[in-house]
Amino acid sequence: MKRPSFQVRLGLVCLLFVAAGCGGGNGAATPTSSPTFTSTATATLTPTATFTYTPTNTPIPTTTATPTPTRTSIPTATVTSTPTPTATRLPGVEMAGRLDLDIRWSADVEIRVVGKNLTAMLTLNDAREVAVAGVALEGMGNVHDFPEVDAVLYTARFTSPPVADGRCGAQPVSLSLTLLRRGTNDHVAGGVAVYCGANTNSGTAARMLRLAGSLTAK
Amino acid sequence: MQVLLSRILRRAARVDHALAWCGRKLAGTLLTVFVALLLAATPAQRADAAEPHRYALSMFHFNIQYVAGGLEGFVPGLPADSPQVRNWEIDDEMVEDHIITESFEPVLDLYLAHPTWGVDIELQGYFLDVLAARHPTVLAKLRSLAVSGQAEVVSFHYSDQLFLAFPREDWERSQTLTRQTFERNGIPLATTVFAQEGQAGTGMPRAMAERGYRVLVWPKNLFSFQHGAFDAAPYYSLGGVDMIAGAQGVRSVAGDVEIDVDWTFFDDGEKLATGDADPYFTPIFIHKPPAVARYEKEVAGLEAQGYSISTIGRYVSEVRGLGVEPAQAPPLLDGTWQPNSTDGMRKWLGGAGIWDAERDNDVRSVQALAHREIVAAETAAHASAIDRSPLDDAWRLLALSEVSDSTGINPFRGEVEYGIGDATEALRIATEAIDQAKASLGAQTVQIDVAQGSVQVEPPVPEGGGEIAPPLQVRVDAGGRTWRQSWTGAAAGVARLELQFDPGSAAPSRKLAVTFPGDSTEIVYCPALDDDRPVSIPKSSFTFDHYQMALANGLIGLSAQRFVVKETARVHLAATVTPTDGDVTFSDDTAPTQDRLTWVFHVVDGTLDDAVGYANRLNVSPTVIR
Repeated sequence: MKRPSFQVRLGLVCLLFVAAGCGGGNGAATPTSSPTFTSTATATLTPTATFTYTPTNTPIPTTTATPTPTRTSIPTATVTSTPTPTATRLPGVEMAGRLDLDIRWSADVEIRVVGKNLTAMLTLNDAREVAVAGVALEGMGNVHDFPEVDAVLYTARFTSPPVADGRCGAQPVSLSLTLLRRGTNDHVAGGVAVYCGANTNSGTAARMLRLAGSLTAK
Repeated sequence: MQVLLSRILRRAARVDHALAWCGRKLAGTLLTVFVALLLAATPAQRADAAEPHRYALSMFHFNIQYVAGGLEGFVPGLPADSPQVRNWEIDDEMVEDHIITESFEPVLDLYLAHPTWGVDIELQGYFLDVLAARHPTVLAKLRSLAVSGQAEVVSFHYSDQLFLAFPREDWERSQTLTRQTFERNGIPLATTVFAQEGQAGTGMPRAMAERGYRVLVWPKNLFSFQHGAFDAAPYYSLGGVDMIAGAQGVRSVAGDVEIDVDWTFFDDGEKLATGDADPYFTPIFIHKPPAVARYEKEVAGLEAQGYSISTIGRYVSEVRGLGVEPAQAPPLLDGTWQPNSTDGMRKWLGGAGIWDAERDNDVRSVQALAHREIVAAETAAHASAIDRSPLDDAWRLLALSEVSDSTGINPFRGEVEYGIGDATEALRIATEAIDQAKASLGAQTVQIDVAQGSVQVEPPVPEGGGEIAPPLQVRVDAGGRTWRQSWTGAAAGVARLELQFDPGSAAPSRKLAVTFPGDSTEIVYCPALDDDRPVSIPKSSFTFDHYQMALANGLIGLSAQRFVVKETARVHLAATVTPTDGDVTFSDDTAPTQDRLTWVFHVVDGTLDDAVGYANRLNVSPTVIR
């Protein structure tokens, strides 16, 4: 709990870090161009359930982003994983972005949406004690619409081999990606829930990684 | 004050008689006043009174989520591999470990060294899970203090969540988790209640009584913010439970019984053993034995003066046993323990802190969305007889996500994203449960009615309400953004307002507000944990010039037959009310500049019961089509 005394002290400490940029650079990621509405959801929820419903609504921003990964972190595990090449000329809508991972790091996310299903690639640039840095993980998932609130949730599951000295020890790691988009904004936010064990996507997460940034149409 | 004045006059009378015998009337009168004042300033007892009952109370509020998610990214201007950052930016588990080893264990050790001293230690249920997982010896110390009755281990919620802003169901699930973890770890749960951020509300007593709690610690500042300076009664009655004014000393004489209460500690527990440092400052957040020694000396001094170093529960029980009747609590509104500096609840629901990464409405509305989806998933799982157990994980994640620090007081970006990331994972679990239920029912689409507990397979596609003329004129401050409003009929007597704000381009566009005109002379709302029990309290009951309301189910009155309901999954901001007019304002100082934003409100013209039912069907027990 942050009491007023904390505020004062934090303000003083922050002053010490002004030159280093403390308190800056934390804003939401900036879209590269203005988004365009493609959604037709009118989201008119009433208690008597008389609202306009568009079950296949999947807002997709129209901006373009070309991620250029710079994988600088050194893998901390002695595992062998084969990076999967990016699929091209496949049906569906592709989105990609380099999202901030726990603020200091990044994750490249690529999603291809076909109807309600999606395939996804996730590449962490830092191991975070849960996966091998710089290695793309491939997974599958879904698009979940919440038309009454004009929001969409992208979900995908991944599996990573055990990571030495990681949070799951010798167990394989299951990762659950979730990203929420409001309306047609480029900004998405969510995270990666990390569960120990193969094909494990519930229980108490071993770690919750946080993701935020722009995920735009390729 | 009347008690104090009475004591002064009685003492003055006795001294005055002695001086008159010497014939120095005038000088004696002056001396009388002087001596009387001196006597009044000391704890000396009346000659004709019994020994006063003196208590020294404490409340150590510990929060294992003090920096929810850890400190990584806290000082972003420094490179990640610099020594300064490595020393400061520790991860989630290390922050938790530091709280335990640097601040929590030293307090336990202090009290273990003084078996006659009682103490109240408040923490969330999750704290015990961390102790059990990584600090079993510290857990054993806590258990020893609790089992002996020396310590009351106080806990009202599993996560240090902003429960005043969410439906009761969220707290119920959190409370169940808390009891389970206390039982699992062999820690007796105290019947005293104090909560994160000093949250207190008038819906709590009923919930407390149903769960076996007895004493609510209501923060003195939340009391005085509503009623001005006050002399505390030894204890109060509020909604069927006992209540004391937290950290407000008591000087009370009732008949032959004199009660004196002093507080030795009422603050974040992390600060005592670390010399007032807090966990954000890793380099200085370390155990400082002299700080503990100073406190130990102070408490020992009180004990030497005859104070009973007591738990709160024992204090109230003993005072009641002395025949002291509880005072009736005045009208009170939900709030937190430092309403002056946090502007009531607004700091967590639209108010900005010192960092620029806050997005209060984003965080709280996605949590409200997660609530809706989880209760819908529970209904679908029940109707389809699928395994609902993963939803327990969703409830736990929702409790964690609702941590107060994700939107206030000064959340840094990591805490903001903690509040979102845990909520979206809860959302994922809920949506997958609904998908599984649909598959079990062989349905492409279902309509889930949470209030009725029913699921309709392949429902007809409902039609949206038509556009209508605005039933009232709202005032909008769009911070320089382009904005639009549209009104549609949502149900009989209900108008739905959608406010759309285009992306902004400058700092002022972070601040948005809308005001609904009203003329109510009363504050009409449903206190938290009492979603279906509205209260109407005259504004004239209070001394404040404005007040910020969380509105767990979204409802607040505008006039006798008109109410506004915020759709919390779209807009979950504090409502500002004033005693001078009936207007209600919702405002956000943390709106993301680059985002297109939509706020949705519903204006209900009808009875209060109609409005409460509507609000709960919208925000608490909704109907959704999936």
